[in-house]
Order: sequence, then structure tokens, then C-alpha cells
Amino acid sequence: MNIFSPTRRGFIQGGLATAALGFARPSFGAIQDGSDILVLVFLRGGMDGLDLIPPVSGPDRAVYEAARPTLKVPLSGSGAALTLDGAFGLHPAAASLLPLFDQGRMAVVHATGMHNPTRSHFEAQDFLELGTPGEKTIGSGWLHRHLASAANLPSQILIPALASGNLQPLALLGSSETLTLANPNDFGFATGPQQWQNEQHDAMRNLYTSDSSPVHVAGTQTITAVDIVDTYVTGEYQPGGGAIYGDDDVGSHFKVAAQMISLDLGIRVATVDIGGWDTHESQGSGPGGFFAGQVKALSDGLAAFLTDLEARGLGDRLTVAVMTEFGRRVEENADQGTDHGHAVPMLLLGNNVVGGLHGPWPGLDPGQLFEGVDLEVTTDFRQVLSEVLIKRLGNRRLDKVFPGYEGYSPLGVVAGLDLPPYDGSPLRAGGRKMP
Amino acid sequence: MNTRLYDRPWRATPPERLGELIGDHTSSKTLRGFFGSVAALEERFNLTPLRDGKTAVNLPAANGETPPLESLVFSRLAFGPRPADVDTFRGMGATPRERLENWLEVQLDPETIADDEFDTRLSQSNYLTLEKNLFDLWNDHAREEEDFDYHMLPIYETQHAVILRATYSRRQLAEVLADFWHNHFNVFGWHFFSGPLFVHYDRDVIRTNMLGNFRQFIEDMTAAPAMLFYLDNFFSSADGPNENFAREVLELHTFGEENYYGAIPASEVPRGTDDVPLGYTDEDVREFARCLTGWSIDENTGSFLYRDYWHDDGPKSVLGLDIPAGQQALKDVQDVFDLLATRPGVARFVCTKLCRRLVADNPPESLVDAASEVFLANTDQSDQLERVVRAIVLSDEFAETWGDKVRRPFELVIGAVRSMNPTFSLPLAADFSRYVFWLLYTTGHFPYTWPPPTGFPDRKEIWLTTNALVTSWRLTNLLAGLELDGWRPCDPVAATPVGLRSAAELADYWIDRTLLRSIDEPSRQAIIDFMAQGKNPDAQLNLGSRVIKDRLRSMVGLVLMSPEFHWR
Repeated sequence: MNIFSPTRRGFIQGGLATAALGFARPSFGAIQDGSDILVLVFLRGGMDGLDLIPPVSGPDRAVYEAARPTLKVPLSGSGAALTLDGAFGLHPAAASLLPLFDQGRMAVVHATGMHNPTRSHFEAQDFLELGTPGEKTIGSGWLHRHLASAANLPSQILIPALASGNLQPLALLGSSETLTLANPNDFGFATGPQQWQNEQHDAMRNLYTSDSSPVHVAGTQTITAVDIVDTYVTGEYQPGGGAIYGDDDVGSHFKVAAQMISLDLGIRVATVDIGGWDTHESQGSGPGGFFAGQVKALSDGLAAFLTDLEARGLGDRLTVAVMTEFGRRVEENADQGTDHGHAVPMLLLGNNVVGGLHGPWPGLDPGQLFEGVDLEVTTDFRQVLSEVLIKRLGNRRLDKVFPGYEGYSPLGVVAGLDLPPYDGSPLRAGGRKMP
Repeated sequence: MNTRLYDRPWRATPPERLGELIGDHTSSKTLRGFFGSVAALEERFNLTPLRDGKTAVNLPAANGETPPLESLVFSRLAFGPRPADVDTFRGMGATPRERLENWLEVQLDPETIADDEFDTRLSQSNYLTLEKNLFDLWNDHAREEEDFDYHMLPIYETQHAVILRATYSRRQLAEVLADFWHNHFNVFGWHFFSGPLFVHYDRDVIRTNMLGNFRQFIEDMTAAPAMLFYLDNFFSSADGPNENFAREVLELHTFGEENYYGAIPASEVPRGTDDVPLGYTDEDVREFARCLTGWSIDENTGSFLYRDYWHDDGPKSVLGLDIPAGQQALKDVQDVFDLLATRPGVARFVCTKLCRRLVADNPPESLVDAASEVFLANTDQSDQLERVVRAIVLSDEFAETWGDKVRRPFELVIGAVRSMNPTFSLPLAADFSRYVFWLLYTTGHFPYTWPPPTGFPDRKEIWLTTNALVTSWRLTNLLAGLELDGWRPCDPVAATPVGLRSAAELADYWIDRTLLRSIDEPSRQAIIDFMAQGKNPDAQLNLGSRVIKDRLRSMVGLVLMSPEFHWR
């Protein structure tokens, strides 16, 4: 084959989000006792939100079709967009998400992001995961600061946070209470001579508890994690509800997350990282294209994950948020790909999500675009995550989780008790904040 | 076809799960997994929660005094203290400082160091691709697309060879620097078209330039086919300039994102005393991408090809530099590189990373200043980078900074292996090789497997996590005790001097051998206690017995998994 033909791409690390609209499910109300579970799915590389949730009518459809002669998702024929509402559709490879959308268990928030113009993957990921757009000096991830500041969590939890994969993402930077693992059935270090394994294990604990340096703390937590996993994980995992996970990284990460969450070890936040979204070339439009493969793996993984945990009775405690560092340029490039853009939809899934499309749509008219080329950000990503923090996770300390973020008001993307943020200033009798 | 680009190394050699090869040496399940009720298990293992009020945010440095110079040398400028290399070092002068100076001069001239043992291990491994030139790599491998294993053989063999080099080569500083520059100019080795050409990238681009001139280095890197494929520039043309590579050159290879001014007009970037902008903008990225159009690859030979009919010939402006229309071939890019190579911001970014690799996560400002000065004063020298490394290593800060750096998983495992009398080579087909390859992969830190162009992170916060620690320990501990059909790839017992017999002697010997420094008394005592198992630590042990030998192997594993061995 001709390697200069548009069938390959270079490094891709990226993200994507999907959305749908429809009727909201009846609210299950607030739980707020700290037992809800947030699963953060990060799509690395910058997911092409315009092809995931394409406009299907009106003047924006015309702009979209003109800007994307080869990449547009068609309205009819094979590979046609699935119907969300009259204005937006869903990429056909995301078919497994459509039932969730129709049941009101999936929300799409239009045009999310940061009011920071960076088009660098790494800078954007840093800003989003540290939770401080424009600043990278805070030294901890926003999910870690949530766990550290939430007042409603038990003081002791076996495993408060899980990172499914080899590496702990920046959203959990600084967290020594996170279990990071790729395969719970291989999680241990008792690989030395068999006769002395127990004694060696005890000696390791002695060595690591003898001081409080960062290595000692991390090592002690690791030994503890090994003990916990060793105790609770028995044999190969059998998914619930007939869920089938793909035999790839994406399927494996979702499966491990479900397996660990289902053990009821106290996990309150979990992360899943999915790479491959940096589609500078040969992105593909049809169902067999590269982007479609990415979308299908993601969608099937999400659907299996929700089916599995629903069958285990955990559905009402679960909120899944899907985000990426930025969207992609409205206009496709000369390599049948798309370059780095700006705003992108965020997806939320779960029984407590208010299904449908949310947030202002900024429009594709050139005058409406960011710097004339990219979708404008209309919803700060912190607004969406703050609503989940307050209504689902019961943490009002936005000042700790997202320092510098002001003017929060809920969009209405999840059900739950709507309380104002609280910054920790003194209370007077009765629990009200002093004026 | 597309999906292959993202295939991970284990697809090339289907992984055997832990235990299938090595029987009893499986995960902890074999010994610890069969105990009845969960409550009983919790009691048995005294489970403590991961969340117990600890909410550390920023990781501080370790306490304790700065170790002897040779301990710093073998943990930072080498992959670990191999006894023979330590002996060589000790014979190179009367004082530690003199030894360091003499050792450094030899290490900075790596070709002059005889490397017999590495050469032997390499030849025993029978690799097929490491001597191939670019054309043969292209013709034999890149063009072979049906047999995926053969297509990817060059990267697969390069990864095996780097284990052998880091373990056996006496050119240790070169190995540390090669690793640094591979990450600075990162190419994901399992990219479908970079993988077959990786031998060339490693040998003729990284290792050829790593002690040379930065300006030359960035041009060679830019013209390297593995990089042209990886970051998409090979098809960038006037009709469709691709910004990917241009952006990463500015963001990751030269200026760094700290000198990125975003979307503001390029004319508004503050300027230095020489009236050149202090950093770059999106506009500079787009303009530089235009300069790079036409830098491509010859389909027939796999080598670099400048396609002038793809080049955007119009006038451009990059970093305040006006580039006239119609310049001769390559000159647009070369002009930008000439400018970049002399920027103080570039010097500072590159030197900060070098100091972070060789000294500390947060290197002293004074050291970065001094290194940057050497960088800028020698931009036209063919040994510019060698001079920068020399300035860093011979600085007071190098000798006085401690406790702000840990071994990453590959460094931990190789460091452990180096101390244990390794005798393995790594033929591709051997069970042992496949096993080591897979287990190294699970640590998340196998060279050339980092997909994004940033290179592996180099800060301890990223690596002091449960998975990184447990997978590093798992492989280290395995190698300390592993026996395969009567053969031991590492043999701590054979490596222990005959005269040592008591638990205390054995513990002290291995602490010194692996760390080249003393450790806190409670840690030392924990290791002695393990070896003594309740008996008098000064009593003679029967090292003829299998049980005691295995205990010694476990003790060595313990030392190599200890907190002290992580610091560097």
C-alpha cells in the first residue's frame, strides 16, 4: 500500500465526548451522604466533538457540511447520524449510547472548556486535571482535593480512589490514597522464594513504616493496597447484567473499574484514561473509519460499564463524566483530519443525570467562533463538575477543589439537593454563613 | 490497519500471565489466598484503609544527610552500582572529587571505553536488525506490512538491547543521557512506521548527537524519518500545513510551554535585549509549520526527502524573524533553528530538564543558571552538550543536593539487576526474555513506550503510586530468587563473598553494595531481623542449606525493594 495515502495517523492521544438529548428521568433525589461514586473518563488528544454530536439542521448544518466535505457525518444512508433531537445527532458508532440517551440517563453539555486559549494538549490537560486553568503550580489534582476536602466522607475508607490503568492521572496528583492498578489479578509482589514470602511481606511493612518520607508513605499505601486486593479479589471477574467488555485497553479499563467498584471497598472516585483522539489526519467519516473505531470502543465500554454496575445495584450511586482537553477545529484540514480546537461537549451518564442536551450552543457562524476558527466555550468545565460535586458527592468546598473559580450556578445536569458553595468561613448558630 | 498503530508491545509477543511460566513464583495468591471468611482475612492481614486521615499534597524531599559522592554517581549518572564499575571508579583518584573528575572525562568519551561484557551479551542474543542501515530497515521491515512481528522487529530488538546496555554497558553515563534525549525528543516506538525505523533513530540520531551540538541535534531530529512519521510532518505541504510537529518543537523540544504566549499577536510578545521575542505564540506555530512544509520522506528509500513542490514558498515571519519568499531548500527551517539555538529561554528549558534528570526534581536555580550559561556560551561548539553535562556534574550543587529524586521503575529494576551478578542475555524467543519484557511493560516505564511526545514524566509524584511501586517490586523480587531449569539469571548468593556468614554481616554487605551509603538504624535492623529470623544476628548461618540461601535471596530482594533504594 502507499504509505502516503490517508490511512494512517501519527501519535494520537485524545479525547471525545458524546451527548444526546431527550426527557429527563425522574430524579432519585439527593444522596449526599458521600456514598456516591464519580467516574471520570478522560479522552486524551482532543476529541472531535463536532463529529460526535454533529448539528443536523439549520444554518449550522450548512456551515458544518461546508467545513467538513470529507469528514461530516451524513444525515442519511449508511453511517447516518443517529437522532438526538431536531438540532443535533449522534455519531453512528456511538449507537450503544443511544438507549441510555433515550432513557434519560445521558446528558450532553454543549461547548464546555476553559476560557484559556491554549491549544497545547499538555497544557490543557494540566489545567483541566489540576482544576486551575492558567495555573500549574498547585501541585495536586482536583479529584484529590475533593477527597481531601469533602466533609461527608468517613475518616477511614479502604480504597477511596481508583485509577484504572498503569498510571495515576494528574486529576489525582498528590493522592497517596489512590489505588492505581491495571490488573487486580496480578497485583502483588510476593514473587520471591516461596518459603519466605510472608516474612518478607512483614519486613517490607516494617521498613516502610519506619519513617514518613514520600517514599515511605507511598510504599506503605502500596503494601496496604496489596493486602486489600489480595483479600477481596478472588478469581476472574464475571460482569453483571450480561455486560460484555471489549478485549482491548478501553474494555479492560472499564472492566477493572467495575470489578473494583463492585467489591464495595469504599471507592468514591475512579478514573479511566482513553488515548487516541488526536486525529490530525485520516480521521475517517464512515463507520469503518478511525474516529468511528474510537467512538465505538468508548461507547461500548461506557454502556457495558453502566449495565454491569446497574445489575449489581450500584446504578443509583454512579455518575460518569466524560471529558477531553479540547475540541477540534471546525474546518477539516488537507489531510482529512482536524487540528486542535477549543470547546467540546462533555457527557454525563447515570441514573441521576438529567438526560438531554444542556448549556448554550454558541453557533458555527464565523462571527460566533473563537478566534474565527473554533467552537467558542460557553460553559466552564468547572461549572459542570461543581454541580456533580455539590449535588451528587455532597462536597460544597469549591474553594478547595477549584480555587479561583467564582460565580457558580447549577446548569441542571444532575438531580440532587442544590446547595450553595461553602468556603469554610465561620458559621453562626444554626449553621448559616455569616453575612 | 489503523488500529495497528496503537497496538502495544504485548501484541507482538502475547504475554504469559504471571505464573504460567514460573510456577510457584506467581502473584501473592498462591500463598496468601486461601483463608476462609473476609473477616478472618482482614484480621489475618490487619487491613488498614488507604484513607486514614493522610492528605499529603506536595511531596517533600527526604530527610537525612547527603550521601557520599560515589553513591550519587552510581544512582544518578549510572543505572546503579555494579561492583566492578564501583571498583573502577575507586581506582581513579585519591579523593572522591578527583575520582569523579577522572571518571567523568572517560564517560564523556564513551567510544573509548571497552565494553566487552555488553558486546558478549548482545551477540549471545542474536538480534537481526541493530546493524541495519536506514535503507534496509525501510526495505526489509517498514514495507513488510503483513507480518506484524517482523515489521516491528527493529523496535522490539532495540527495547531488548536497551535492557542489556543499561545492565551491562560500562558506558553508563552515555546510557543515562541516551535515555534523557530519547525522552526529550520522544518518539513512540510502537508507532506503525516509526517502529521499523527505530534502530536508526536510536543509533544515528539520538546517540550520535547526545554529546554534541544542540543546533545540529534538532535538525537531525527533524529530518529523522521516525520523527517525521510520528509527528506527521512527512506529509505536511503548502496545501495543508500540519501544525503538529511545529508545535511540539517549540513546546517540547526548545522553548517549552513556559515560554508559550498563546493566541496573542506575535508582535505583542515581550522582547529580550537583542530584540527577539522571549517566547512563541500560536501564530509562530502556524508560520513555523509553513517553513516545515516539504520536509518529508522518500518512499523508495525511507530516507529524508525535501519536496520543494510541497514547500510553501511565500514569505513568513517566525519569532520576529522575517523569512523572505523563495529561499533555497531547507533554509527557512534552518534560519529558525539558528535563532532557536541561541535563545536564553531555550537554554533554560533544556538545562532545567537536564538538571532535573541528573540532580533533583526541583533543581537549584543557581545550577540551572550555570548550565544555561555554558549552553549559550558554546552554541557553536561541536561538544556543546558534553560541556553542559560536565558543568552540571562538577557543580557544588550536584554533590550537595539530595532527597528530591527517586528511581523510576525501569531505573529501579535495572539498578537492582546490576547489583545481583546478572548472567542473562535476552534472545527474543527465550521464555525469560518474554517474561522480563512483559513485566517491564506493566510498570508503565519501559523505554520508548510513552505514546505522547512529552516523554516519560520525570518527577517523583508521578511514580510514587501503587501500580508503579508494586510492579517494580514484583519484577525486582522475582529476579532476586528466580530459577529456571537450574539456571539463575541473577544470583545474589553467588554474588555474596564467601567469608560472610552472620545475618548482620550479610545485611550490612548488601546494604553497602546496593546503596554505597549507610542507612537509618531502624531500617538496617529490619533487614537484619529478617535475615536472622529470631536468632542471634551475629551467629553463623549455614549458607549451604537451600532454606538459608533462599532466605538470603529474599533479603536481597528486600533491600532492593526498600525505601532507601528508591532515592537517587
